[in-house]
Amino acid sequence: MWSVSSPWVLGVAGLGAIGVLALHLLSVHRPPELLLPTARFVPETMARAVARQRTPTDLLLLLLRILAVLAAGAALSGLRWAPAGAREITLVVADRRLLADSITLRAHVTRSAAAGRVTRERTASVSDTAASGPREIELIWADGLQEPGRALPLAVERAARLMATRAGIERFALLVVAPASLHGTESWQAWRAAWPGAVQLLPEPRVTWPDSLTPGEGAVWLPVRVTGGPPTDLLVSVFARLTPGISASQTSASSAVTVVVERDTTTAAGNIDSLDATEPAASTDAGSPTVVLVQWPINGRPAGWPMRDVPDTASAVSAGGRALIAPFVRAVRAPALATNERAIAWWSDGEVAAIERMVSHGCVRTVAIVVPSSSDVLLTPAAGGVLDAVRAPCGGRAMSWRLADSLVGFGAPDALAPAAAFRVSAALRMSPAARWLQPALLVLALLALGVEWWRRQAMRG
Amino acid sequence: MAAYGPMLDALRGVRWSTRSAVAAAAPGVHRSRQRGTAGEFTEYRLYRQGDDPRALDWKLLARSDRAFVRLSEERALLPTWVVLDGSASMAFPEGGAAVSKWQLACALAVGLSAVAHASGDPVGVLVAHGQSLLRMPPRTRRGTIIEIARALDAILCGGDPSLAALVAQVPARVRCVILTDCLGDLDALIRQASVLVAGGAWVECVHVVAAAELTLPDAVYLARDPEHAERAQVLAPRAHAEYRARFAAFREDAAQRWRGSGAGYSEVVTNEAPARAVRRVVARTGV
Repeated sequence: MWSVSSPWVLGVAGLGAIGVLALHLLSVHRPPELLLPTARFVPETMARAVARQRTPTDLLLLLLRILAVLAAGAALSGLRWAPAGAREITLVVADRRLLADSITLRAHVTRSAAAGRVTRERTASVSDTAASGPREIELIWADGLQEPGRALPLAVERAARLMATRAGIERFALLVVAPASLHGTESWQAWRAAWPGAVQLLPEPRVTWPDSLTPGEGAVWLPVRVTGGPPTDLLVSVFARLTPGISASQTSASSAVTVVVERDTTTAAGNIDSLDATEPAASTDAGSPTVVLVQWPINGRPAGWPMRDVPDTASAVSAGGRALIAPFVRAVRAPALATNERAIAWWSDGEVAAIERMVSHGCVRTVAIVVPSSSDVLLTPAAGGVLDAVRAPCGGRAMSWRLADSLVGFGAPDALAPAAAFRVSAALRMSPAARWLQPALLVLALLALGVEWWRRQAMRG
Repeated sequence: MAAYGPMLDALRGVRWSTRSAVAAAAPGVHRSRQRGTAGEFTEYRLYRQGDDPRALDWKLLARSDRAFVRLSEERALLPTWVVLDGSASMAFPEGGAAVSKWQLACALAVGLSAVAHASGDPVGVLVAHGQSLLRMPPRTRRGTIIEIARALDAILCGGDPSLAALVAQVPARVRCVILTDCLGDLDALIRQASVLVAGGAWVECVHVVAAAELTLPDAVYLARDPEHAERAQVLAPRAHAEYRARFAAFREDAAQRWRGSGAGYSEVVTNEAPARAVRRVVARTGV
């Protein structure tokens, strides 16, 4: 199937071809030759004899000219041939934890859609990728879908990529396979406008959402004890400020502290057994004792995180549904997440900035965010996301709300995203090579014109 | 040859004498710079040792007791060379009813030869055309004009031969008429003509101009020089005025240069009757 990125360019090329045909009918005759011995006395003049002709001559030349114009127009308009595929594509965004059993996920998606268990009563038939039916499934694996907002930019990016590589796509459907436990909805609401259609939510396999969840019951924060840092450590005052009634000194001395923020880099990574076994337990689930160790080195280099070849800068860090915007220096890279690990904070480019690893007695969190001691960035309200992610119980704070209304509601219930919304313009798709190639071609063309003009002047001289 | 008949009839009785005395040569009709003892008396001169005693005027010696020699004016021949330019440009205009420059040059050559031959002078022809050369030495015998006419009629113009090299073959103390369109090696030709004039020859250039060179057609053409194919210019009607001005300036310059070299210069256009042109040339250079 043919597809065109810039149809107007192709139209201009068609008009150009018509113009070439019209010009071909206007022939410029070479004047008849006259043998004149005194030709040396004839002054130099430019004379053209233009005449119209009804039938074109030199059909091969005419054909070549028209083909050249049309070929240039086709190239500039992005005309391309792609095998015909499905007109509708269902983008399914699922957590990477489900990658190991993607077959089950596909079946789950298909069954759920057929059974009408997706939200908003969307029961459109969802076929498998292998099926060449009117709709096919495109799986997108994402990290940390506890923040479901991450699904939206990934879906937009994949849709744009599909539009650039495949022809014939008319609509996109988006299906987010969300875990039962969510961390926040701020990022979802921030990104929701980027998807120009309805979004379907589906619980993960073997997870059943309650019919009605009551909001507000997940706001459980643990007291924090900061150790290993200098007395003027910013985190001491920050967490003391977040825990009214407990001063910094009280925090460090209190026996009720469960979240231990270790600022000293010499502490062994994940050595949760070294913690005081007599520390009282804190739990998100009643009856299960939990100890939370947070490794947040002052230099931002947690143990086990590989160093970057060249440190760079991230403009923001996102956690708990809020983005903290500031220039953060990144010296390390996030390690690959194991099955018992999950990301709790992300840099602005999507890279993981903090990890939570579940252990037998609780969890260990490693944070690679460098905050200068003189900075007040953690005192801003936007820093609450990072701080809440750090002091939350193991497994994160269970947000509970009605998913269907708060996450999905946008646009018409059955409105699929039109494919045209993801068409990337030719200018944006221009490769770096094309950016210098076009001026280079222009310069070459001007040079050719100049050489031709110079040659003609030389011949006249 | 028949084409030249009316012209030759029109030139009957025309004689081509020189304005000044010619050098010593075989007895002819032209006044010679040499003084002799025979013929018409001119003057007396005192006898000098070595003079022929038969030239003494014995009666005067008897009356005056002084020895005088009777002198008389000699008459000499003046060989005439007609040099024709047979280059490709002389063939213009080719075809059609118009007289080409070569046809006019041939008619002028035959007419001038006939006039000179009728004056008793030997007439010869030199023609450079293409890669060939026609050389007919001066003769006075009967039938010379017919031979010249036939030889010229058999020639086809072509190439770009050097006329200066041809003129260099002409001996001194002759009458040399050069029939050319002056579009070839003009500089070298004038230089060679000046050498010839310095040697005592009478040189006359007859510049043959085609009427079609003066009046160009009112259309757009690609004018190409027949002798230099790479020399081509678009000839549009709006450029005619400048062309005419340039061509006139060229002809004026050529005339001045010919005259400056000591040679004569006459311009003949192809629409002029050959007999009239011959008379004009003869009258300009003769008595």
